[in-house]
Amino acid sequence: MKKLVVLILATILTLGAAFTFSACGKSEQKDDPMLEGVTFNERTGEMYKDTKEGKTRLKISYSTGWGNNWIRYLSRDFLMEEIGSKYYIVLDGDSELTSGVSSKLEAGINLSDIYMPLASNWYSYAALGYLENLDGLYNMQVPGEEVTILEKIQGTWKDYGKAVQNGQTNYYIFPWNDNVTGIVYNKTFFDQYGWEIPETVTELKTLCQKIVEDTNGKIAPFVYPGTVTGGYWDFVGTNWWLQVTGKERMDAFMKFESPDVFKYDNKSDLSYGKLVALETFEDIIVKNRKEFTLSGSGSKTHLTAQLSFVQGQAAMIPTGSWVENESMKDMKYEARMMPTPIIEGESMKDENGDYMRFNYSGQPDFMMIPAKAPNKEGAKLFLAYLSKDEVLKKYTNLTGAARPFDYDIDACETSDFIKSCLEVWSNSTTWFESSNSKLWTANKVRKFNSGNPYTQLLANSDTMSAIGWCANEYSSVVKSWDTWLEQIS
Amino acid sequence: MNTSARKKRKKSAAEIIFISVMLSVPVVHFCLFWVYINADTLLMSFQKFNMDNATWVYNGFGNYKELWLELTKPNSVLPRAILNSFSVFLWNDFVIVPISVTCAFALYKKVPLGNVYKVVFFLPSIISATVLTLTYSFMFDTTLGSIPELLRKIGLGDIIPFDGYFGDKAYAWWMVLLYGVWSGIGYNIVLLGGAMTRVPEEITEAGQLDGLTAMKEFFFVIVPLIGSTIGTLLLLGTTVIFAYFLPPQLLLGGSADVVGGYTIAMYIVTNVRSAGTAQMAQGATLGVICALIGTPLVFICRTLIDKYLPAYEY
Repeated sequence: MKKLVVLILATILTLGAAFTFSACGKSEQKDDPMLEGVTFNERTGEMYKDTKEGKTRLKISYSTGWGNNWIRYLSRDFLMEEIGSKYYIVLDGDSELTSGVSSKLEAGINLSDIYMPLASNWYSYAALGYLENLDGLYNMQVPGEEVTILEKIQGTWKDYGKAVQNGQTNYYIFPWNDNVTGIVYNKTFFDQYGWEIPETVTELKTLCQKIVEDTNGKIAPFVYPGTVTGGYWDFVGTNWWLQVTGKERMDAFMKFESPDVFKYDNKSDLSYGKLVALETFEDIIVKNRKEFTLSGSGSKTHLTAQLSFVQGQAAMIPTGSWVENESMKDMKYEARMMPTPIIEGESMKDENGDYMRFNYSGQPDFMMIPAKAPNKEGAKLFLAYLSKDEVLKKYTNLTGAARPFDYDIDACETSDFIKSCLEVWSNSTTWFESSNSKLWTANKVRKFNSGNPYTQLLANSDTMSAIGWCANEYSSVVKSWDTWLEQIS
Repeated sequence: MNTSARKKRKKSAAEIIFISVMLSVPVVHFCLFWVYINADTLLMSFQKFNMDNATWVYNGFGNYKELWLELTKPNSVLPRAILNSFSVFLWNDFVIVPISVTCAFALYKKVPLGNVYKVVFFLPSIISATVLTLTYSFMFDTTLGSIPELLRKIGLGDIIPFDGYFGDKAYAWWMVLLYGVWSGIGYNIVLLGGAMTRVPEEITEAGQLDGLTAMKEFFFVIVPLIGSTIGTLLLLGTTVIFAYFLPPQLLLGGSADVVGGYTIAMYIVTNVRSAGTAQMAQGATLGVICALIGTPLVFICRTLIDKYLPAYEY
């Protein structure tokens, strides 16, 4: 028995030692043709062309939600060009970066030169002086192109990167992704049963009834991740709100100039669109949730909900373009994203009489350079390089995600699903929450101020109505407004 | 050398350095992580963060007023969060600890397959909470999980809630508490089992000669003799009141507010994490109120535990 124990222990120790020593050696990735011309050590994240001697380090920490390949390949391209010839790159993929970046910035030691977290509150980082002023970068000419980066940036992102520090407003963060969100549907089922993509919310409701009838309830019209805030329904709901209110008036709402922006009774009120969106959601989903949503959706995480969709348990899911990366690799069905159906009689039309289309991208992922980063110059050049046309296209090819820049998205080579997402993106005005109001940056006031309306309506369908929720929100905001103002003064 | 002479002996420089070095770590730790943290929390509850120039300025009772508004606004999560936090304490002391004591006693009495049960009970304690909650929620997933599938097969499909166990107000918090039993008893069993093995065999053997049954042995011998260990576990229950957030966060996520799954700690963490520095003052204010309620509560519990579960020397 003793011999056996000794043998097991010896084996464990030998294996442990072998692993330890193997980690000391180089594990260079030489077989990837996309990394041709550079030396890349997958373990340390170091990448250089020829040699790193005499070159300055450029360390990039990034959230791994979009995988690793895109940043490796684009880093390689940067090093191969004249602009990157003075640098070698260290890549640090960190799945916990979004929650951990504040501690890193606060500590101020061993900082990376660029951080790429997912959507999160960053205003206090700027206010506390942790971030580098990026005004110069925004006004820099895109390498090899005639326009400045700011001229190339689109939509809400033109202002979203601004924050106040010591009374001065400057740019502190840089655009990363422009997500496309809405309703993703199982194209195979749609083709098989002859279901049409709904143009209006009435057609959407009819479609849901048809799905239940045609499949005898075996396929639910929708599955949604109930344990995610709002169950992802806000990707559809805010789109409806935008359709009713329009981008300009949504921006006016986001200024939060008085509690009256939460008024909802009249068509002229800035929150009227919110009420219409919630009533539409109530009419289609809340009132029919047992027929139109998959049983157990209220308990599903985004991954289990996506898994149910991938397995064909539901025909549609509210989600975003990232779903392909996250869950659809082994899906045996085809999926596409549909333009969000319009609300007849409420959605706005343009001067040609066509309905205005929107894409609500949700809070965006971003990039930033710490004020104490050792290689700020190299970091700015890298971000400028990422704004070039061909680099933007390559990024979209690699990730399937769009970036909020003016470039030829149609020329990108992507899957059919991503093509459908990019088509929605191209034909829509993208919008997300952005505000310079102190009430917003201090997190006193939000788009929804009385809990999340979607999951609340679903969980309290017997006792709560959309109009009741809006009334509650308005009275609560009015009651708190003066206290909030005192808190930010 | 007598005692008084020993006391008067001057300590050498080496002894003084040794004592100072050994004491410095706990003293610095105490100053940094108790005095500084608590003093700063108290101070911060009377301050607000000025986003324009990134400074903390005096705010009087502004944070307390804002917290009151938060507590009383429609659909506020705070009332339920307070209730849930205290229910965790009661659940720990009146459900988890008694179950742990019973299971530990069964293992102490060497039930068949006792060693297997030890591993089964202890396994959840060494697995990452993220993995454990994922497994637990997957097990109960209405369309993908094994337990609902089993219920359907034995003809009990009707009792599965439409919104699933984590999406239904009637079940969600109970599921979090049930998870607490699953993940919590293994650690307790190790502590209690260790205490039980220290009980002198002579006592139980003598009792058995006098006709001591297993039930009487449990209530009149084992429980009183391991009272101090049970007392420690009961007292630990008071510390979770204001610190319990990971299981509801991982199991209920963003729906915790609508299914009544918030706790005080979850409110503080969510608020500060999503809003950054500006909202830290509100977290600190809630922390101060928790300390005002929690401190006397801990002292009361300590007194009761010392009275009813005294430590015996043997």
